[in-house]
Amino acid sequence: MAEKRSTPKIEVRTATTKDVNAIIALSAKVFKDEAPYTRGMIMGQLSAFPEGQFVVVYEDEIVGYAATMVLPEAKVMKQHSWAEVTGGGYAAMHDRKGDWLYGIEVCVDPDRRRLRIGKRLYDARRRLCQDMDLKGIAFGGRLPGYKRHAKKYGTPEAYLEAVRKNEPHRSGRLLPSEGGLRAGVSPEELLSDRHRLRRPRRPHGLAEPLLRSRTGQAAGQPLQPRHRTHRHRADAGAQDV
Amino acid sequence: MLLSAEPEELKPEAAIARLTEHTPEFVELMTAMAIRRNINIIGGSHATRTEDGEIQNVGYAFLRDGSVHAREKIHPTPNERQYWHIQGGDPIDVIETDCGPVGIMICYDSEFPEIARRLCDQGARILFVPFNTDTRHGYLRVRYCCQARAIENQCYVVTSGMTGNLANVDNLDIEYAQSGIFTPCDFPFARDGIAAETSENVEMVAVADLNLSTLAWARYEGSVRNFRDRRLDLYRTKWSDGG
Repeated sequence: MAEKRSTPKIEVRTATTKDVNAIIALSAKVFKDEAPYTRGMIMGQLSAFPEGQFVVVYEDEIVGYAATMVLPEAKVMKQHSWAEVTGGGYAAMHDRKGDWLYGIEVCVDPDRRRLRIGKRLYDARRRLCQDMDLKGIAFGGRLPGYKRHAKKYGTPEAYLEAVRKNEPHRSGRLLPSEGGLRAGVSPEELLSDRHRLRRPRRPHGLAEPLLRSRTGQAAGQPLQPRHRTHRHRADAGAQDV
Repeated sequence: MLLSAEPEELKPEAAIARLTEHTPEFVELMTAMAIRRNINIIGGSHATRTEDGEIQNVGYAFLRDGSVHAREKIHPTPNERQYWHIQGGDPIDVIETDCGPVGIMICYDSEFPEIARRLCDQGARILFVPFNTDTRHGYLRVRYCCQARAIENQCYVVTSGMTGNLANVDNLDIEYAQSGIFTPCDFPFARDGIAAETSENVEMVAVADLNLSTLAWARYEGSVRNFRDRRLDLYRTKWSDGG
């Protein structure tokens, strides 16, 4: 007979300061080629907006982390860089009067894939967005599949437009969104910027919705490039995610 | 004080080495006090020998749960380097307490705005500054800078300096201080940005109630909002640890 347990095997909960070491270890595992998060950055995120930082715990081990903040619409909709709006990752610019939930970070233990850890984290964010009655969730990410199609499409903007029309097969689909979806491309930050590589490799190779409207107000609207930033891989030689 | 009780006056370098021998009992005594009285104590800084043999100036926080947190002075002064061969530490991190994260900046460190900003970015709302200055000039450097840190980061800065004289101790023989508890300058705070201060160069206790939610008000609703009005699209401190 299968084991029965009364406690959860996998759960999403808000992070606490007791999780900081485990979160740093996770970030070191996910971002192999760069410095992991510092203790201070995680402490900053937890102090600025404790209800917006989530961990996924699988059998008492932290296997996922999502950092979130709230920003005013003017900042979210303007061309910006990750370092600028997150204050270099500290989330010190979290604005409790803002109207958009902003995704700072999602990382998932590469050895614990296929547990829907990322989905659980995004769901937690969505619940938070609804609880706080915000306009939606915004975040930047890299352009999956751009490397493969860079020659064909030329600019990242052209590739994004093509992705929206479902042209590139499989590799660059945008996640289906219940509400509207708007996306834009941001000129990449300096190559040396560690946060350029912040996003973890995604197992299924889907693009992230850049901006999902909870109310659906943006549904059916055409894409509005340059409305949203998108940390893409501008150099064709780089790997995609 | 402990050096003053030595039978003979020691040369500065020998004196500071001797002082490090007192570190264990200092830590033990203060830890016991924090538990017995159920209070968090930000101790003064104490010369401490690190694992690799260097002597550093280290600030200590003794929390009521019995934990001890050490924070190294980042910038030794020219005097500290010359007389005592004090080395600067590297880590700059807040201390998590049951009153929220707090920061320690030892003396000269308060005169470098990047330190306070990093600690406040990490969530600190109170910064503690133990200091030792021998002239009014030196004291005022620390004080003016601490008041600037309180305004630019919209946080509280608590300073505590040594007063009076120490016979028999070269390079620590005279002290000058007027300790104080500084606030941002805005309507909810005292009009001069001073919640409490001691008399000049007199050993005494300053007491003030600090309300952390008043800081939140100042950061969101204040006449000026220095902490949140930063132009991070133009400037930002990049730390070598990636922070």
